[in-house]
Amino acid sequence: MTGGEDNRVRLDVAMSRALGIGRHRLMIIGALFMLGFFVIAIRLVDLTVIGDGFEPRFAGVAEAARSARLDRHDITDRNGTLLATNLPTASVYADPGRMLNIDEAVAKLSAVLPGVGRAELAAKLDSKRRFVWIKRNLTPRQQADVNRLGLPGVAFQSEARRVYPQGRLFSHVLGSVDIDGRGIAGVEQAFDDSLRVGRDGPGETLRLSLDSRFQYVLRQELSEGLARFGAAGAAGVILDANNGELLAMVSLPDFDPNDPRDRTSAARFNQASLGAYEMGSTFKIFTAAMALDAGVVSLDGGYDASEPIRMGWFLIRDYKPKKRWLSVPEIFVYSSNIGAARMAEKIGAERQRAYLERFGLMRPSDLELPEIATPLTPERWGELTTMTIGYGHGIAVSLLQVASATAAVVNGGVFYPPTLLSRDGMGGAIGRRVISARTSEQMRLMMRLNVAEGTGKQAEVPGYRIGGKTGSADKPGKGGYRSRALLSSFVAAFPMNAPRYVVAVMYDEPQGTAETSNYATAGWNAAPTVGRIIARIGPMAGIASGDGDDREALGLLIRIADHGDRKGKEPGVAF
Amino acid sequence: MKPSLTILWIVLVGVMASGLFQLKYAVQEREDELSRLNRELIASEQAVHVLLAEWSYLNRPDRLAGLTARHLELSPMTPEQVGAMGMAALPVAGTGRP
Repeated sequence: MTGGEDNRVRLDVAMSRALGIGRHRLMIIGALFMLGFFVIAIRLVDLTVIGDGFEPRFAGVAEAARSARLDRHDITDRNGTLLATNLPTASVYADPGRMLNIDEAVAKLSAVLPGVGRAELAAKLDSKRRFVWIKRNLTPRQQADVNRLGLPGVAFQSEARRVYPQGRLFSHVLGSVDIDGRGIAGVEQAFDDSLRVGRDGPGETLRLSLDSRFQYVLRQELSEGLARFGAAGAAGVILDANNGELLAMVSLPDFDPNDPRDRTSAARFNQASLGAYEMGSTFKIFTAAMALDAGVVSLDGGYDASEPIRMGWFLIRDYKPKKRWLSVPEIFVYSSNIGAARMAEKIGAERQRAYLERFGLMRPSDLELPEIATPLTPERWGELTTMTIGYGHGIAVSLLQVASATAAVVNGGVFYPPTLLSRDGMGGAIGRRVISARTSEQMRLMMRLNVAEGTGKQAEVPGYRIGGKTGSADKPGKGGYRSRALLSSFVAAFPMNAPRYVVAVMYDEPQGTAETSNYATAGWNAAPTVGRIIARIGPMAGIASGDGDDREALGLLIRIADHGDRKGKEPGVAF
Repeated sequence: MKPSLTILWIVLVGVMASGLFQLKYAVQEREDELSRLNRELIASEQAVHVLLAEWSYLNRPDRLAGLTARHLELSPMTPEQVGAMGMAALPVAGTGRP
């Protein structure tokens, strides 16, 4: 009994233990399954509800592809004309490790691709590198030809190529990019950072202040003049007189930005902004302006120009001496070096320097280009230096600087730093006053008189009031000046009653021809060129002609200038 | 568990599975459509880009000047042809004549 009971008890115990173990195992397994399903459920929720499915990935493709294709922003002029853009091209590269027969590949590729030398290509492919460019920026036809060769280890990379649809028209201003699309000159270099398409979305097209119509007129007239006057080079600048916007800038000879091989160093040199030259008589604009503004002399005052000035070994002479007392307008109109030197002497070195500083002639121009000249200023500013600077020798500045300083002289006396960007997006231009409005008015009259009656006569355009100043400087050579090599320039503004544009033109070593009566001075080459440019851009800008004859206003000046035999100074003519 | 309830579950699972299957393919189709449209968009944009460059190239001032000289009886404006409003003779009141 007891044994049977014991057995049953034992059996019960054994069964309940087995059952307990079974239940435990079942629970553990159940828990594991539960955990598994739970993980799957969470993952499902994550994939379908929370996490990103496929759609955003697909939707993002377009944006990514677009920015990858653009690479670099377009550049347009002020009217939206496309000046520089990127076009998609293909480049062919090779992985030498995957090529089966290098000799065969070299033979086939050099037969299809012009400009790829056999020896050069063989050397390139015979390397341990896994990536070798064969040729960049193929034409679609070349790409098809290479594709048809079916060479293993040769593949294409789609790239963008910088294209300048306007060709040579803007070569110096726009500059160019290297094979990898980095700006290496001009606007391309100056605005390189903003032109590159960043990862954070597409940026904007760069809109410049340039006007391609003005640029075309300037370039055409200059290249015609270059040929006609047999000059070695020519440069020109057109500025908006009232806000410093650069409308056109040309330097000849130029280069084709679409052809990277067409780059001689002479052609690449921007004579308008990078060349610093002794400008000669155009500087008399600034000498007269500072003399009048500082109250050194009034418009009816003058200086004795009967004798050349001797300073030690140095002689200051006039090109066409009048050998008498000259009034200020006469000094300006006859371009008397002696008179300008006397005027500068009275201004004094200190004041002259301060004024030149204010006109922006003592430091590099603010224009947004890498090619900007640093003016060559005298180390010692003695009396002789002061006098020679009075007529534009002893200081070398760029044509651009002369143009922007002239804009300040004629626009009412406010200097605006020249810029390549359109000002209207930036709340107008910020200028600083350099001379009084009254002085500016007097200077406008004198510059007008110079074109109406003086050395700038050939710049006259019927119907327009043009004012300007010629300059013909001897170019410095070894140990002094070369007498036969001139740098002739003409700086003009128009219309003179309320100047809107400043046009500056310069010829490097022009020759006298039969047409110019064998003269090589600015009045015979730079001045007529400016006249022709203004006759063409004036109507484009909608500037009305013939708004009143200004002979009457000029008459007063002509009377002052027309001293003739008058020895003394008459009182009473006030400006 | 009643057999009818089991059958109901099986049918429900089957319907949902096939529904999900259909949905997946429908979505995939839409995705293909989207990427095709995007490719088309990029291609068109690229074409527009190229055409703009060509337009600018064809509108080079020297080319236009040549075409004008060849095909049109127009010459560049001269300063005399541009005037201010004040220069125009206005009709005298009443007469209708300048």
